[in-house]
Amino acid sequence: MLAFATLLSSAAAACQGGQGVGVGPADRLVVARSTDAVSLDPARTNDIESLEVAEQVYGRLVRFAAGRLEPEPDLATSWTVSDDGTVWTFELRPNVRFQDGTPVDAQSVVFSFERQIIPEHPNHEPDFAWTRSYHNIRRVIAAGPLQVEFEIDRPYAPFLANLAMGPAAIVSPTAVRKWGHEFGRHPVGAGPYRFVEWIPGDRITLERNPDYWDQPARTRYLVLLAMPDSRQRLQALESGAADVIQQLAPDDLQLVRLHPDLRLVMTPAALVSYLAMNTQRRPLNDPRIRRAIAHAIRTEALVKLVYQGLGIPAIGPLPPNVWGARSDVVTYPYDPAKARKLLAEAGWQGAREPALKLFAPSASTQYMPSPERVAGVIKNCLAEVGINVEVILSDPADHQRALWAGEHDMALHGWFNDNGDPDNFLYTLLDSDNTTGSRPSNIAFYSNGWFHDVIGMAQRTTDRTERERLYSQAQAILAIDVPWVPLAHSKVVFAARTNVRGLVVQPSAMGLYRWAEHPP
Amino acid sequence: MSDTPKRKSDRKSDRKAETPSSGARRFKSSSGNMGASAIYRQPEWLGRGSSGWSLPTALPMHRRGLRRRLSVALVVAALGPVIAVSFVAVALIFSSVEQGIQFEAERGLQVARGLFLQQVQEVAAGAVALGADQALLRAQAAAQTSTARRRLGELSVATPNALFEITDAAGRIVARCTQGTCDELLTGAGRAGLEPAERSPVILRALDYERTVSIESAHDRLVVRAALPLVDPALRLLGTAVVTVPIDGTVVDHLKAALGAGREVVVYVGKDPNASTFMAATGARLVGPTLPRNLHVAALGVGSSVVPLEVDGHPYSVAFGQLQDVNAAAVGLLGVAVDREPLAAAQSRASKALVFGAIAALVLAIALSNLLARRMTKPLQDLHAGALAIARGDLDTNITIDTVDEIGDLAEAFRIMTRSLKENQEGLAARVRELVTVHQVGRAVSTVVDLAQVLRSVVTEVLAVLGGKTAAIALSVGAEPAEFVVRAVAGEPVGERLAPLAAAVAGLGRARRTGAVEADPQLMEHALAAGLRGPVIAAPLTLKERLVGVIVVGRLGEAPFGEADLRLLVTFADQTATAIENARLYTEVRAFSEVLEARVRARTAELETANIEIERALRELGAAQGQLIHSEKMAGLGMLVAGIAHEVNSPAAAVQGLVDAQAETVRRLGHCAQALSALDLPPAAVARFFDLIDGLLPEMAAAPLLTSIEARQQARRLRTMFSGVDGAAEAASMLAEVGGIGERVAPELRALAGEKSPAPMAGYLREIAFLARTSGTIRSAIGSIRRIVGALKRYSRLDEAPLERVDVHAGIEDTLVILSHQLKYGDDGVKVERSFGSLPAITAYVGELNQVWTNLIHNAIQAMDGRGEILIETKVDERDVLVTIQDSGPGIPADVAARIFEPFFTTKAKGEGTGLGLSICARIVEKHGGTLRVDSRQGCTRFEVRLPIDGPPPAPVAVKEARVGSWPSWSSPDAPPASSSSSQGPASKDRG
Repeated sequence: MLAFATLLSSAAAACQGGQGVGVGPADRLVVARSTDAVSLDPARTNDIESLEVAEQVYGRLVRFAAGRLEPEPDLATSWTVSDDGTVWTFELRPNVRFQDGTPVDAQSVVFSFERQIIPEHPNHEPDFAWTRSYHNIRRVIAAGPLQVEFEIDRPYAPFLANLAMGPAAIVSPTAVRKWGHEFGRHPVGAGPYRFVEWIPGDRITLERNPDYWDQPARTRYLVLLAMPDSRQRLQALESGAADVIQQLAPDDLQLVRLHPDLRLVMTPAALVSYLAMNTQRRPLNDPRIRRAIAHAIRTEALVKLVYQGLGIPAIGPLPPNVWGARSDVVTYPYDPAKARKLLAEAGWQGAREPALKLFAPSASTQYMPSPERVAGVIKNCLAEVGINVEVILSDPADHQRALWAGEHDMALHGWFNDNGDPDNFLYTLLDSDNTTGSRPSNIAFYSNGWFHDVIGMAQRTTDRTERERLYSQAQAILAIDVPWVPLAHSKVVFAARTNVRGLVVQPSAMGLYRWAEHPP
Repeated sequence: MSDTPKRKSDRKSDRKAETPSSGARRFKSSSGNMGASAIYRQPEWLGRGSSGWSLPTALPMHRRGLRRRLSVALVVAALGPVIAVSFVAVALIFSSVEQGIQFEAERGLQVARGLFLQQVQEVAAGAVALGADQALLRAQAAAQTSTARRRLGELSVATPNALFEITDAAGRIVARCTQGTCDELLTGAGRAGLEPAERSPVILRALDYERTVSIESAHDRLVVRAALPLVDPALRLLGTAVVTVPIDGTVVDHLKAALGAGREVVVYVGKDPNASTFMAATGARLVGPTLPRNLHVAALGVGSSVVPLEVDGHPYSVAFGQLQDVNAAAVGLLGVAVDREPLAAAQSRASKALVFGAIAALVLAIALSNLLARRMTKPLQDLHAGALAIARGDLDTNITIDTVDEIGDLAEAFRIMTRSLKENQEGLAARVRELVTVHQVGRAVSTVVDLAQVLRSVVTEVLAVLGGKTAAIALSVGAEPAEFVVRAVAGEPVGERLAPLAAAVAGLGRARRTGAVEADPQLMEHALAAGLRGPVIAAPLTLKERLVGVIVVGRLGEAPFGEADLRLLVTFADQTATAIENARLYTEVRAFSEVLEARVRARTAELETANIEIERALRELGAAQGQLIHSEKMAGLGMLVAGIAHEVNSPAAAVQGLVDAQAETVRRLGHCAQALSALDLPPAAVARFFDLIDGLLPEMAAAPLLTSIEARQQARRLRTMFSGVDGAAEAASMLAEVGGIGERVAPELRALAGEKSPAPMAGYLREIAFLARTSGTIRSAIGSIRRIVGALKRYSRLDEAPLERVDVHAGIEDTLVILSHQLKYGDDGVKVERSFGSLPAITAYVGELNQVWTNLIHNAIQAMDGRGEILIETKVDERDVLVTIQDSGPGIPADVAARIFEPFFTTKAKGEGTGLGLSICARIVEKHGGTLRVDSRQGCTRFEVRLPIDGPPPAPVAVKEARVGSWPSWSSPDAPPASSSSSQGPASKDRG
């Protein structure tokens, strides 16, 4: 039974519109994006544009460190986990206020979560997008004025990373009660910027929050423009009408590289693309054949050619900027002779064997620019060592369905990480728990008891060093078993004017603008 | 200004002082810092009026000057702003036109650069088409150079100004074509602009599968060069394709066409012009302007810079921006020029108009201002003449100006002023005289305390001020009726003859003068009796309505005294009376203080003797206590060392045993390796075997051993797995020893061994597993030794440690390590529970705090007889850190609890404890500004230590220490200890 605590509501006005007079260009950072936001209510948004704005407006208990998907203190200064791993206690930062003057206290944290996880909550809305993400929270309790306890259903170390995600934003209860369903258009949080104005389809204007608990933002105004045409975005950047642009067209990269006033700002995304092999079906249940395939593909050339500088070759499932990523495991460099030998050892009959079915999406996806070309190269490479491949192209939805049904021998697939925790890659994509059900996320159907134990132990312990050791072990196991040929980690690419300093691009594809400034 | 006004300097330096009235004002205001006598001795200066003043002689010149200045002022006032505004306006217009041109040039540069980079992209797209040409790829794949060259020639026809090249997979150029003709020997010479791509960085990138387009300088020309890898369907690298387009007149003409008329485009390689759209009058293309010396290509960096340049005698504003290669290094410049001719023409027209307009306005303004000035200065001249007459002292001068304006009002004010001037002069002079004298006498009498001297100076001054034959003061002696004795006389001595006169004045009770209408005949009589034949003036000296004396002044038949003289004398009398009283009081106070001083001296001597006694007693006590404390500390250390030796010894013995076992294993490993090589496995299998072992190493170190039953079961399973192979049983039993991993690697081993015996591999694996496991154990044993030694090292810093930031938890953990041998006594030992909150570092003496933890924990262990639970809790409470140490011992009886903080109180047998432990803890905690409490009942004794986060308060006052006579600090006997009473206060309260 949960008790709803009532908060003292302050009479502060939620929003003061209008821009200041006498604002020079140096006081304003203009970011052009391809799409406008949908809603600025963190419980409602799951598109990257909305989440990016929410990232600037709201504070969370923990936030991702700059450039790395690793939680660091935000509104919480410290936390402890009970011995059985199911109660997380957070100490809140004292004397922090929302942008409307409401104090940030334990009650407001409880409010922010309860409205998402309890359907009967007066401020719950049926279209909240993230309700399922927090299904493991049993209850949230204000244990003191500045102390919050989360009780979760089982020990689960990645829980901390989940609290750094967009929907875990702490919202001002005063503002939510005042605006109700309209809160998404009048957001109030405790982040580095406060909301000023939103002209739908055109721009969102934010202003520096002078009372931010951390160093206040360097530039006074942050303006996020919606510009669907990539050519138009680039022109705005060239003319100085925009200081930063996102979603650069691949062909324009060369232009930005050669332009003295512009530069690229890149970071590896929390994303992996891979060739999954169905480990439960003949003939790919034989690890020797899987190793042979890994040796037979020119992976490095493929990534360089297809991604054209916007991707780095993958060694394992974890991108290098996710903690725990290991680069010293066994690798399978291009070596057709070794591949042929392994195949011979496995008794591979060459042309007499039936063709392997390789499923690939027919259109480019977030994780792969041209899957058709990639599938073609793989087919040709494997043909050289005597493996026939039949490429089956289908639109992304059919492709996904086929993979769930396990119709494939091999498949091109990718994964965009939610919370930066290694568990989100290793457990979700490779644990035997996820080989069953109607929508298995482990589409290699890889099942290894040892791996399962290691991943389970890493979920239950909250000791970071111990988890890192376990994930390191897990990656070594994968490298020997080869359920995938890991292909690439894409990069997130922003273009900025050369005089813009302090711009940080997060692996989540969002910008951090707190330190950004551009002296005139 | 000088203290004695001089006429000449006055006239020169201050025109306002030309009238007498202002002169008098000046005198009055400065009298405070002038010698009073100096002023008083020149009363005629005031009375004489201004008849002696001479007047300014430059009167006509003065008049002319005023008019001239007025006209100049009018001209300046009228013309100045107009001219200034015009100049500012023109400057603003010029600068905005200038800015407009700069902006035009910069915008042109932006557009040109965008277009240029688009052309670059088109070149890149051309190269991409080359990479997709199947015929070319087939020829390359088959290494048919002539076919490839033919195909390249066909492709090059479409783009006339480009050079097409292909290389082999090593980067060597195998074909080079332009406009359909191919020749692998084509070089730059004779083929203007088509520079071959040898050693171009773009080729190196293409060989690494990267598509690149760049701007490069080749043979002193700029070219756009795009390269990409040529690959077969399986991505085998077949070579690279390179397209080179020179940046020449065609390119810049294309840019100029987009920019429109009046704009020129120029491209530089480094600092040399490469191509431009400038045309000479004849229509010939010019090479472009030379760059100004101060324009640095590399420093241009971001943005653009606009400079004025002349080309062919024609002025231009040129905006320059960098051209970069793919590594963002500057290779050249792109410039867009805007014609400045229209601006120059506008500037010269505007300048001319401005000069003519200014001259015309000047002439008009001079004429008008002259006229105005003449009209305005006439009444001023009249007023000036009148004012000069008054200044001469002719106060009856009449100024006749009847204009009804400010000047008329001024004239009327002059008339009124002249009248009141005359009236004030006399009264002012008299008043000044009085004030000065009173001031001086007052100063004389108030600074002197000797009565005789006071009286002497009063009579001297009075005589000097009032003038006359004699002045005297008589003071009353005795009670009623008062008798008078003359105490001071100036001038002619009158002696005791004055006494009756004084008595008479006293009887009247107020000041008197002879020769006036109300003169008292009796007074006159006494005066004559005293030999004063002239006029007499006298006043009583009264103090708080009591008569103390009389002051008398007599003249020799001179002018009688006036009412002002009488007023002056009364003032003297009042001041004199006050001075007399002061003198009397001073004498009394001095006598009294002498008595007091004598008494204080006597008492001080007594106290000093007593203090020396007390100090000696304290020193002796301190020495005795220091001795005791030292022995307590040594006893504690001895106890610790014994325990630690035991702690270190056990892991060391374990390490010794394991190292012996490992030596044996290494020997066996040698045998295994021999057996392994005897098997004569294929090298690939051996390599795979060692790969396998490397991958398993971390797991083997951590794998638990199987129980013997499990091992037997596993061995059985493995035997079936190896069935039909030599040495199956042997291999199975050896793998079983490796634990769970054995079962997993068995299939691999079998596969690797083929038909041969897997036993040597299994044996090798077993020995390696043993080494991995024991290495882990050794590491942890050494770790625990290092932990103990480390803790001891930190712990033993003790006394020397200054006040510093201390982690309380670390101190407690170190102490627990040091005491760990005591915690393990008996079968079940002492269980330590920690409930640590999040603590900040506190300011403290780390060694002393450790002593507190040791004492409290050691006491707890002893109290429980080495068996039970200790709970250590820490938390932050406001500005304090709270540490509670709780044991499950039998508790402390109330009568004992009341005394445990007392020094030398112990419940232990004689010789077992000094009884100083808890007392010292209390001292240390007190020294840190904290408190130590105990709360005890059956089965639960809690010691609560409260320490301020910010550390101890400033050092305690030494005086307090001496008075209370408390303990010296145990760690440094010289440091001033705090009072002991307060630390025991809270403890005794708890017990109640």
